[in-house]
Amino acid sequence: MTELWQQVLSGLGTGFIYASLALAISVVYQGTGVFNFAQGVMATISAYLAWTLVTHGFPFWGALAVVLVASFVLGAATERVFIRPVEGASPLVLITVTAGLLVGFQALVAIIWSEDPQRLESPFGDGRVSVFGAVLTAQQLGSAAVVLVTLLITGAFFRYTQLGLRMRAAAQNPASARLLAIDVGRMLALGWGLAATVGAVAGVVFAPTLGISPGMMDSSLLLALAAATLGGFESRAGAVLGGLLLGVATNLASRYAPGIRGDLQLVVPFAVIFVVLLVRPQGLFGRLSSVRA
Amino acid sequence: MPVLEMTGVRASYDGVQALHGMDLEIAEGEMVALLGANGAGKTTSLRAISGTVQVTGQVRFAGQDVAGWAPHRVARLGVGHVPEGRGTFVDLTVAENLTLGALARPKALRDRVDADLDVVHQLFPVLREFAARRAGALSGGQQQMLAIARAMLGRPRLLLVDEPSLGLAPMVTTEILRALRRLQGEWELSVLLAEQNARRALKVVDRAYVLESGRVVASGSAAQLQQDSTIQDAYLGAEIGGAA
Repeated sequence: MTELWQQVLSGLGTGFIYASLALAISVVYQGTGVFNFAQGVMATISAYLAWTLVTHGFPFWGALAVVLVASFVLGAATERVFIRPVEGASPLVLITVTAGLLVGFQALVAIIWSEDPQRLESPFGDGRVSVFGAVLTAQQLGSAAVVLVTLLITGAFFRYTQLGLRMRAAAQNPASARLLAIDVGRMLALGWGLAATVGAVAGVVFAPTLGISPGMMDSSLLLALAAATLGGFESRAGAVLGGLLLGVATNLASRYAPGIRGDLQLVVPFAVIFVVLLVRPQGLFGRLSSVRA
Repeated sequence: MPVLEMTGVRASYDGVQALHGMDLEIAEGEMVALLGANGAGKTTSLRAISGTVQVTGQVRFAGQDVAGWAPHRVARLGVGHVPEGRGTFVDLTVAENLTLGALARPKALRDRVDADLDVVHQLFPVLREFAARRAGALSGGQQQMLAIARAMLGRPRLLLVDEPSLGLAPMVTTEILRALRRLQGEWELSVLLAEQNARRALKVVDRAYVLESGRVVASGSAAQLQQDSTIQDAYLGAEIGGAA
């Protein structure tokens, strides 16, 4: 029983990585209506920036603050330069562009920082905490807390601020938003900036766990995509919950399902998603009626 | 001085010309109808004003030529537009839809939002009752009320309303047009109403233009047009004769 509990908890630990990236994906989706394949590699850039600052003597949290701002600028600039020219094009075009960004950014990262993996020390120390008999690292607990706080802040931003409301309106019905004096282009850039900021939280806070390398977010992106699909793209809480479920499912599968070894465990969550989507095509918390009117 | 003046406005979609030199004028505080059959250019005329279609020619609003401006800048200058199909934010609540309308108003009128919201709620009580509901869950008539209320809360100087009767029961249409007329009078704004149902529109407006093939073919006061049998037979026959 204790072992099962331990497996669940460490599954949650990994799940928070997927959850944080899924949150960023759902922010960009909700803020701009675009699915961004480059979300993971943008988080990787943030992680490298933080690593660079820390190796130059910055304290971890100071570096994080600087990186959040820099990532916002990077995200907004990416929208202006690469997405703006194809604004309003078909989803296929946008998918192609963001997939291109994924490849391009990854190559850039390798050129700037080389392919050698780097290490970032955990800001939470290497303490361990016992939770009802299972052991968690301070890094696992601390990063989970940071992701939850990020979720709450973005939720409050979209729900309670005028800017958040404008951004939702611009994403949902750009034509109508323009008629209400909303500068849709600016809202889209802000949405990308915001998502890159959320992604930066993921990249930097989980860098100690994942290690820093150009491909550090590759499998996480795949699972974050799955998490957002599972939870429903329009639901930020759903995306986070989806990430946690996937983390636990993956971990349990690798431990208990017979014959599953190595990376085959990654198939299990996708099988789960497949079944869920057969029953609820909109995801667990999504809405079917999100038709762009 | 007229609040809006269109001179020789042409517009086309994908190479097909929809407006062939529109000339039109609306005075401050006036409610004017654009009449004509499907495809006569009513919707395009409204879109030419709000900047949602490319035009050549002159569109003077509040003393400035706004032809070629981005839609959000035209809106900021004081043009409200209730588009064809209502343009509701279906996944946002009714209250959020209305807030977005109020956010579009000039800064000088920001402190009057609550009072104006009261007026709108009195006019359309259903919008208060369903405030927390998703706008997409409203009926067609309720969504039309929401769309008009939302645009009104932006306190525009000129409100463009595109076919509010489309797909609605006659009684609902009458209710909506009456409410529109009342608020228009109270808030002293100009309204340009595109409507296929001429009989219904002429009951509430001051003046009307009759369009055919993308240009004005007749105009006059509502009373004149209601009595002019030549114009009715030529352009509005079916609509005026029809019971609906």
